[in-house]
Amino acid sequence: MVCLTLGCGPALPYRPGFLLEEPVVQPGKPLGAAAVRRVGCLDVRMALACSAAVPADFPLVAFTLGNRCDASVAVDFTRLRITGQMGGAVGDAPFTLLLFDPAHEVHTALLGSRATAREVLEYDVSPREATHRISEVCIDLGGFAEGSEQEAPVCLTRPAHACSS
Amino acid sequence: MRRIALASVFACLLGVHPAHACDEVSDVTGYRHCTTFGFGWDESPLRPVPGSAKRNLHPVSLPLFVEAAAIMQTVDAGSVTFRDMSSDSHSFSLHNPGLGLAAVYGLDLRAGMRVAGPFYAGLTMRLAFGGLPERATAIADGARVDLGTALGMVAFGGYVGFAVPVSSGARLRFEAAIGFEDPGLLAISGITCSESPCGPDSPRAFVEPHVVMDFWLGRSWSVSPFAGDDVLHPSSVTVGFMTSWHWQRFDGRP
Repeated sequence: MVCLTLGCGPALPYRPGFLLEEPVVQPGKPLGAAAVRRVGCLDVRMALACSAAVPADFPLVAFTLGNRCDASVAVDFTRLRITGQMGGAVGDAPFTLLLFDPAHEVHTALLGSRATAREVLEYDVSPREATHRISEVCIDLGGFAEGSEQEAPVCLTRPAHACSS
Repeated sequence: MRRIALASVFACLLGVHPAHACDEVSDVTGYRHCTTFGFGWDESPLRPVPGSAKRNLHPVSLPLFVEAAAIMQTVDAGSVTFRDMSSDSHSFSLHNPGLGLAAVYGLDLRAGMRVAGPFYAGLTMRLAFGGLPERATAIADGARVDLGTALGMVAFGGYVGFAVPVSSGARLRFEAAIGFEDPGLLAISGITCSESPCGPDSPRAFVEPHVVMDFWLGRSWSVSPFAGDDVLHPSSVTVGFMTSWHWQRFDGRP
C-alpha cells in the first residue's frame, strides 16, 4: 500500500514526512509490527513482512525509505545492527541477527533527492532452527545513513506464527 | 510528459530494458531472480552479482544533462575582417576599427554528461544577434557597399569542466568552452553575400573559460547565471542565464 501510494517510481517526488504519517498499526497485523523513524534526511518505515518464497519462520523486515532532502543520501544497510529476542525466555540477552545475503549484493547505495526505495531483507540467527522462536526484532539505525544519530533501537514485535496463514 | 518522452528515447537508445521481461518470484533480497538489491533506487549504482547472469544490471539513468541559456556576448567588430562577394560578384573586404565593440544577444544550446567524479564534458552551440554602433561600409572595385548595422554570431564547440558543491542547493562549475565562432554582418543593404551572413574568411577559434553557479530548483532542474571571457579575443565577454535539465538527479553527485 505504501509502495502504491508513493508511486514506487522516479516520477513522483517524495513528500517529506509522508512515511512518518503512515499508521504503524495496520489491519490484520499485530501491534508493534511496524515502526517509523527519521534518520537524517531519510524517513524510514520498518515493518515485519511475509513472503511466499521464504519459510514462514524466517523474519523479514521491509524497509521503505523516503529522502526528504534535495540531495542524494548514501544508505548502508550493512551497517544496521539487528538484534533479536527469543520468545519465552525472559531475561535472555539479545542476540545478533545476520543479514541473509547469499549473493553479496547488499551494498552502500545512493537514494536520490526526494526519491523512495523499498527493500525487504531477511535476518537469521544461527542455528537457523532457532529463527521461529524470535519474538522481537530490534533495529539500531546508527550509521545507516548520513546524519544518523545514536538512538535507541527500534523494536518490532513478532508474534509466533506471524506468517502462518 | 516531455521528461517521460525524453527518458523513453534515452532508454531505447541505451538499451535499457524494462524489468518486467523477467518474472520475479519474490521481493526479498536473496530470493529475487530478475533484479538485484538497489534496483529502482533511481540513482543507486547497480553492481553485478557474481554467478547471477539473469539479473538486470543496466543502470537506471545516466548523468546526462541538457541546457539552454540566454546570453549576451560582446564582439569587437572592429577587429573582424568581413570579406565576401557583393551582389555583382565584386569582392569586398571590410576591416574597420571604428566599428568598435558590439553586443549580441541570443541562445546557447548545450548537452553534456558527467564523465567521472566531478568532471563533465559536452557540446555547445550559440546563435546570437545584435547591432553595430554605426553602419558598416566597404569599397568594392570603387563601389560603396553598405553592410548595414546588424551583427550575427554562430558558434559551435565543446566544453569540459568540473563541479564543486557549495551547499545542498548550489554548486559552482568551472569549465572551458573551445570551438569556432563566426561573427557576420546581417541585414545587408544593397548587396547579397555568397554566404549569409557576410562573415570573415573562415571561422575564428575561441577558448572561453566559464564560471557557472548552479542553483537546484529540484531534483532535476537547475538555473545558473554564468560568465566567461574568450582568452583569444579578450574583449569578447559572455554573460548568461542558463536553465538545465538533469536526467539523473543532481547528475548523480550532490
